[in-house]
Amino acid sequence: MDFSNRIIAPTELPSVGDITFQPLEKAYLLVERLTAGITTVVLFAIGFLIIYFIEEANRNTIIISILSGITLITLLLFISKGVDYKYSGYALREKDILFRSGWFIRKVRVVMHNRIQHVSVQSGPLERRFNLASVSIFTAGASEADFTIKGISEETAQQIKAWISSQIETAHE
Amino acid sequence: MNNATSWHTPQRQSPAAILIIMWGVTIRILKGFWPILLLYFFKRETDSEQLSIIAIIAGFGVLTIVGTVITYWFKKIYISEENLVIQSGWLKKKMLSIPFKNIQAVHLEQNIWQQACKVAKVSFDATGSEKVEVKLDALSLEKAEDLKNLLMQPGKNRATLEENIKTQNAVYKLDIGDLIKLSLTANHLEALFILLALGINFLNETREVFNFEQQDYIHSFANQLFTQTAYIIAFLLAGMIFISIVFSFARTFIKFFGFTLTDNHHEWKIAFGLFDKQQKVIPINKIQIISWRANWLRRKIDYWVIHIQAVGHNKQNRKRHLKVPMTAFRQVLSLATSYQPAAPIDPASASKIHPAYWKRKTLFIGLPLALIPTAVAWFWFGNWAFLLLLIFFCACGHYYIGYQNFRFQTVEAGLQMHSGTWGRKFTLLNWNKVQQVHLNQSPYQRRHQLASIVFLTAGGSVTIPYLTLHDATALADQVIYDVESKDENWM
Repeated sequence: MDFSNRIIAPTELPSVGDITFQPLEKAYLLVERLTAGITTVVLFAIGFLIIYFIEEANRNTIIISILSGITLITLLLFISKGVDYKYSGYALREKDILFRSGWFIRKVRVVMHNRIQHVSVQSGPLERRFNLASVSIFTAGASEADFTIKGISEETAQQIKAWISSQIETAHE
Repeated sequence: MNNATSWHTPQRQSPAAILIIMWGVTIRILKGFWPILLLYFFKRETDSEQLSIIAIIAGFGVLTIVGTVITYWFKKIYISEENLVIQSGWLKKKMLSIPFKNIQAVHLEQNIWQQACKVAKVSFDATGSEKVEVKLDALSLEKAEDLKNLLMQPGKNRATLEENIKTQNAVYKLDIGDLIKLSLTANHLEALFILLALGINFLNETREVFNFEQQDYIHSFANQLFTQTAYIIAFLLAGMIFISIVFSFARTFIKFFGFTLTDNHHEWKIAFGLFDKQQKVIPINKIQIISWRANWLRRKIDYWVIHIQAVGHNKQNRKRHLKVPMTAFRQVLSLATSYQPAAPIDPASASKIHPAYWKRKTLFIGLPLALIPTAVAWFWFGNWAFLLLLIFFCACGHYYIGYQNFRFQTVEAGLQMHSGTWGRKFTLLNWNKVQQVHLNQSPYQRRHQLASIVFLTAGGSVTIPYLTLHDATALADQVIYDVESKDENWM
């Protein structure tokens, strides 16, 4: 029988601190900023509607507040998307998947293959236009336990899905 | 097996289900439309208006009866190849098939109507991200017990029947004395807020019905109050507190009446309730996280409540946490060893988190909590408002004590945590339940090489905040290795 039980020192363990993450597609930043732009347009439309219905006397103060509020939100969205894009990335290891993201609170998430229930690929209309897709990973039970790798090409997403599926099968055997 | 064979034929619920479903629908309608009904009874309407209200009520009644009979008639349950199958729907047919292995727990519940009809509501917790929660409103008690036993039969992950017989069952019961102590030490403040919220809601709903302007009433009442002596205010306060205590006492007493827990080291069988009787069976391998806690008062009399988080019992679904009252700390420990067989945490020797935790909490929660009311109160009370700055020092003390009490230690099986400011909370997490590990860093934590680590399971998460980045990474590496290297049956 081939059996080994080698002692593993903590320093020998593969560390989540030493990983080189794969960057997301450049088009993803564009898609994110376009989405932010669409949000801004919608916000402006709502703002103008509010302005249209308010009385003359208060108009100037409210116009300035609404427009500066929307401009601030837009600016924040554009900056945060850029910072988030620079930091975000994914890494595939033999036994787990890592995804890091966040412009303010930065998160590194690790999900182990032997805990994954299933995996799916999806893309919205804007993502499809730029040949992008997302891979969603589902674990058991709670909805908070799911995570999604966004901003990868459709081809890579399909490859990742196929690879994770094969790893899940191996892990569950 | 005779009983199992009978489940292979699709069968309906007990006919009592029609009454039970109708009762549920009626209560829901009454809850939603009671102000309109009050309006009907207390206001004199014209004949035509009265007729239309009667017609609407009759219409709802007929629709409810028809809908209930259709629901009853088309809902069938059976077992097919290790799957529990539930068919439902008339125009839109639905067939739900749940593999036995995905069923995490089976619960039987009986409200007074179900007890009178000798039926039970059966609900199942099942795995999967689809948040599957299945229920049958009324199965005859015999069938319900039979189904529960069938679904919770020892499978490949459980003990065999012989093992179960050999195992010494431990039984925990609450007698009347225990129940009184438990009820007296319940969260009366929570009850006070519930009563206040209910009262305000009642006033709002009845305003239209009685042309009653409660704001005017409250204003005139407040004006009167200011002119009255302090004795009346004290009397009213004492009255509110008394009613809250009676309410929360009765709530806890009724809920946990006849509480019994049977532990056979493979599953916990729990039964409780005075009017709404409940029976729950939780296989121990389905439990994800266990914690037990006591408020300041309960700690003094050694009363603890265990919170069991099984699959699907996440933060958004806190109501589904199973709560088990225990009358002594040693009882808690003996029960907890079924989940994590390790010596309990010794807070004195366990690891601490970084002191930045309490300082940041004080800065971002304590300081605004003190400054905002002070600024607002200054317009009314002048310099006396600065007394409110004492809130800041209270917050300092609160978070500092919380930080001092937050201790954790890792054992071979998992994590043990101890926390609480005035009360105490102990948490156990087994590494084999971990599905994901998160390392989170705020800008402050990044500057100071700190991180918070979150362990996510199928039943919720456990967070250790403010560790040094080195320690957090090392712990993450260790846990990931532990999960990936062991081929354990984790669920």
